[in-house]
Amino acid sequence: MKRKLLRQIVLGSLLAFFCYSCNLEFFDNAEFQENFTWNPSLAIPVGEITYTVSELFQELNDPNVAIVSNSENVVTLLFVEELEAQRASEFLTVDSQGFEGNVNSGIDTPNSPVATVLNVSESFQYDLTLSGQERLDSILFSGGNFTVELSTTIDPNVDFTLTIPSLVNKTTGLPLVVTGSLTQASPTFNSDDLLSDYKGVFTDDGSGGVTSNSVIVELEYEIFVEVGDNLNASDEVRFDVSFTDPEFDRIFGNVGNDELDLSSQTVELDFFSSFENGTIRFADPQFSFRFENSFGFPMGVDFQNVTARNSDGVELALSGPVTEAVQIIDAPTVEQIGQSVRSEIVLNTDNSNIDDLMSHKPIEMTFDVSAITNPPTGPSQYNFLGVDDFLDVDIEVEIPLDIGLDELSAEQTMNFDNGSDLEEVKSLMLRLIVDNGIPMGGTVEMVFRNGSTPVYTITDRPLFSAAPVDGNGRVTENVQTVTDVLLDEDAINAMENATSILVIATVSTTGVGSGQEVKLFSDYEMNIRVAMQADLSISSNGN
Amino acid sequence: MKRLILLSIFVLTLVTNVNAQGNFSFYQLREIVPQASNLQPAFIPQNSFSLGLPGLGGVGVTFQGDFELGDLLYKPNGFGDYTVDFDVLLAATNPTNFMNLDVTANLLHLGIRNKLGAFSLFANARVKMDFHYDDDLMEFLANGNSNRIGGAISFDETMIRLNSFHEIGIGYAKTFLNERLTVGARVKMVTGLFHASTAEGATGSIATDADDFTWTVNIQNGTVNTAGLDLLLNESDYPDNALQDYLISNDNSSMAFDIGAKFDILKTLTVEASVMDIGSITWKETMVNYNTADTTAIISGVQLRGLENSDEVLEDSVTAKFRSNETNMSFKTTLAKRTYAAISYRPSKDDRFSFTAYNNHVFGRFEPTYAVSYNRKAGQFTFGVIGSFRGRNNNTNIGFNMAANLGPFQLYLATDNMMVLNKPELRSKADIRFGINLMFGYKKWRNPERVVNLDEL
Repeated sequence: MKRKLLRQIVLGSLLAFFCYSCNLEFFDNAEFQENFTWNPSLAIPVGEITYTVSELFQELNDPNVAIVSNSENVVTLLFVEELEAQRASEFLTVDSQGFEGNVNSGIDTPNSPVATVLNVSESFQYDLTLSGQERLDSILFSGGNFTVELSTTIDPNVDFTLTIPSLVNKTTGLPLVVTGSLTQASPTFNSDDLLSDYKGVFTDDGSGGVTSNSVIVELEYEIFVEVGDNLNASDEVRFDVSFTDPEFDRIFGNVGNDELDLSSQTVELDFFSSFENGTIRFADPQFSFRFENSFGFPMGVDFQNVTARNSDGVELALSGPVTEAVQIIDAPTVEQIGQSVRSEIVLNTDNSNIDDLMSHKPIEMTFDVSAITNPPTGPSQYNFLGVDDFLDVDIEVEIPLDIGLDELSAEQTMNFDNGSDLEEVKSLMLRLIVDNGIPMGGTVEMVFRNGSTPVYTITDRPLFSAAPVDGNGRVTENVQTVTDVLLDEDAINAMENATSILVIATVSTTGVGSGQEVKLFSDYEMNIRVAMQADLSISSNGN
Repeated sequence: MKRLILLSIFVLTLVTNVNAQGNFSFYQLREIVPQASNLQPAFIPQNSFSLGLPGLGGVGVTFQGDFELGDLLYKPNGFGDYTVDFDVLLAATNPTNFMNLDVTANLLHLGIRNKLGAFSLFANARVKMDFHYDDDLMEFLANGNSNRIGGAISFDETMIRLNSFHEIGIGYAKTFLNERLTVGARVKMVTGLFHASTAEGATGSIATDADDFTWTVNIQNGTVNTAGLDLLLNESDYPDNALQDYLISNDNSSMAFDIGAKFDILKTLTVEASVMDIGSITWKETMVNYNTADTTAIISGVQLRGLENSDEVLEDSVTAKFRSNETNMSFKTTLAKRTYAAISYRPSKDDRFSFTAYNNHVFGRFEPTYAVSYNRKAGQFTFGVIGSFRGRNNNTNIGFNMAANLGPFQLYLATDNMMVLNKPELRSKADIRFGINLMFGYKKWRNPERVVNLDEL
C-alpha cells in the first residue's frame, strides 16, 4: 500500500511537473520567414591588370594614333595623315585654241590675157595660249581634234598646201600637211584629224631660232589663172587651224613659277581631346612631311599657314625658320620620267615651334600648305609633266613620350551596365593597389552618371605615385600606392542607377615642378591589383 | 511540410557541443530493462525470460547540440517568424562544437537467464551522426572572411561522420566472486547501410592576405567517403529492388564487440565500466569517394584585361586550381566507441545514488560528460531523477526515468532532459527512450523477501 502510494505520488508529481512546466509558446503562430537573408562580409581578390606605357596611352582610344617605340625605346605616339594629292590634270591643262590667217594673192590681173599659174606662200608663227607662265617645248597629244578650215575669195581655181611643222605625226615623224583645192564653185575646205596622232613641237620660232610655245603654220597655194579670169591682189585664201579639247600624255618645257595650293586640310587629333586642364610639354615632337613627286619640276613648299587649335578654340601658328623660306621638293629628271622622287621635310624643335604646338593640346591642326614650282632656291632643271604624274603628301607626326605633365587632367567616359550586380551589396570597400614603375603619378575622380546627370562621385584621390628617376632618366624603383574607396549603402544605391562613369585622371610626371621632363620607356609598367571587401545581403528569393 | 522542417531544425538544433549525450537516464534502468545491456553488457536482467518485441522493444532518439533552439530558429526582436541568423549562431558558438544524432531502434531483444548466466539475442537498427566544428566555420558563415583579413580560417576541426547500420548479435554475462563481479560481452555482426564522412586527416583552410585579399586555400586529404547514399540519390541508376536488397544484405559487414563489467567494492558500493561498439566497417559496396588532391591554391583574382563573362571566368579560374575526381574505392571506418564508467552507492536495497561518466569516442575525442542520479525501487516500479552536465557553461539538465512491470508487460521511459518542453527555445538537447517488453520469471531471481505481491501495488 505504501509503495502504491509512493508510485501514485511520483506519477502525479511528474504529471503535475509536465503540465506546469510545459511552455511551447515559441511555436505559436510562427512559421519560417519565406525570405532567408545571408549577410556575409567577403574580402576577395578581384584581379589584376598590368599596363605598359603603350597600353596606357592606347586607353586614350584614338584609333589613328599608333603607339610605337623609337630607336631609344621611348614610347612614341605616331600619327600619319595623308593629305590630298595633286594630279597633273589639276595643275596644267591646254585649252582649246585656234590660229587663223590669210594669204593674199598679191597680184592684180583683171581679165587675164593669158593662162598662167601663180604661186603664193607664207609662214605664220603663233604662241600657244596657256594659263600661266608655262613655256612648253612639246606636247604629246593623247586626245582632241585638229581642224582646218580654208576658204578663198579668189575666182580662179586654187590648189593649196597647208603645212604645220609644229604638229609632227608620231608614226611618220613628218609634219602635218593638208592639201586641197578651192574653186569658185567650192570656195571652202574643211578637214578634221585626231590630235592623238601627233605631237606638238613648239621650239621653232619661225626664223630658225629656238623658242617655246611657238606654233608655225605655213600656207602655200597655186592659182590657176585662165584667159579672161579676174584676179585681184586682195583676193585671199584664209585658214583657221584649231586644237579642240586637246589632251596630252606629257609635256616638256618649263612650267614657270606657278603656285600650287597643295592642300588646305584640317586633321582632328582625338588623342588630345581627352586632355582638359593642366599642362603637357613634349620635349621632342617631330612632324615629317613626306612628298612623293613624279612631276618633272621641283617645288618649294610654304609652311606659313599651319595652325593648331585647342579645345578652347585658341589657335597657334607654326613659326620658326622652317616657315621663313620655302622648303624644296625634289623632282625626277628627264631620265627618271615615270618615276617619283621622295622628299622629306622634317619639322622639329630645331626649325620650328612644333613643341609649342603639341603642348597647346591641339584637337585639330590645319595644314594650308602651298607650293611654288621651280622655286628660285631650288635646283634648275628641265621640266616635264605627264598626265599621270602626281604629288602625294603625307604627314607623320612622331611624338616621343619625352614629356613633362603638370596636373594634366584627362577624361574618359565608360559605359557602366553593372548596376544590377550591386543589388546584393550593402557596402563596399574597393582596394586598389598600384605598383607603379612609370615616372608619372596621379589622382582619379570617378563620376557615376545616369545619362548626363551625376548620381554619385568618388572624389578625387591619389591613386598612383610617380616612380623616381635617376640621372639617366631611368626609373630607379617602383612605388606602391594603396587606395581604399569606401562606398556606403547610399552610394551603392545611387550607383545602381548609373549608366556611365566619367573618369577624370590628373597626372604629373616626376620632377615636373623643377622643369624636368621624363622619357617613358617601353619597358615601364604599372600593375594594378583590385580587391574588395563587400558586405553582402543575399536573399534566398533573389531580391 | 513546414512543421516537418521546423521539427527537423528543432531536432538538429538540439544536437550540438558536448560530445554526444550518454543516455544517462536510460543507463540507470540497469538490470530492470533488458535493453540497458546495449549500454552495459554486464547488466543481467532480473527475469528468466524477456522479449523486446519488434517495434515495441524500444526506440531511443537523442539529439544534442550546443545551439539552443532559439539560436537557430531565431525570432528577430523575440517575436514574429523564424529565420536563421548566422550572427546569432556565431554568438552561441564555442571554440569547439559538436552536434550529435543517435537513433536506435530495438528490433528484437530476447533475454534468457539461467544458472550459467544471462544470454541475449538482439538486433538493432542504428543511425548515428556526429558533426564536429569549431568557431572558424561559423565565423565564416556569419561574417565571411572579413574579420580574418591577414589571418586564416581553418576548417581542420570540421568533421562529419554519418553511420547507419544494423547490428545482430548475442550477449552473455556471468557473475563471479560470489556475485561481486559481473562480466558481460556481446558479439555482433554489423552491416553498414549508409555512410558519409570526411576522411581522417582531412584539413582545409583559407588564408586572406592582409594587403590584396589574395586567398591561399590549403586542402589536405580532401576526401569525403560515402556509401549507400548513391542508392538513395540516384535510385534510377540501379535495378528495381536494389535498395531493398541492399538494406537486407550487402558486403559492408563486419564483426564488433561490446564489453562491460561491474564490481561490488563494498556491499553498498559498486563500480562499473563498459566499452561499446569496438570494431569497424569496411565499406565494399556502393562506395563513392569524392576526392580533391592535396592543394595549396593561390587565388588572386582574374586577369582583368578584356574581361567578359566575369562570373564564368572567375569560376573557371578557381576550379582550375583544384583537381577533383570521384572514385569507388573501399574504405574502412571504425565504429564510434562509447564508454561508460559509473560508481554507485546504495544506502538501502531500494535506493541508489550514482555518478556516471560517458564519452563518445568519435573523431578520437575524449571529452566525457557526467551525471549524478538517484533511483528508487518500489517493488515492480522504479523511478529515478538525474542531473547531467553538458554543453557550454556546463548546462545542467534534469532527467528522469521510470519502469513498471505490469504483469508480463514492462513499460519503460527515460529522458535526460525533461525540461525540454518548458521553453524549448532555451534547450539544446532532447532525448527519449521508451519501450515495452514481455517479462517472465521475475520472482525466480529475487530473494524471497524482495518478491513483491503485485496485488499490493
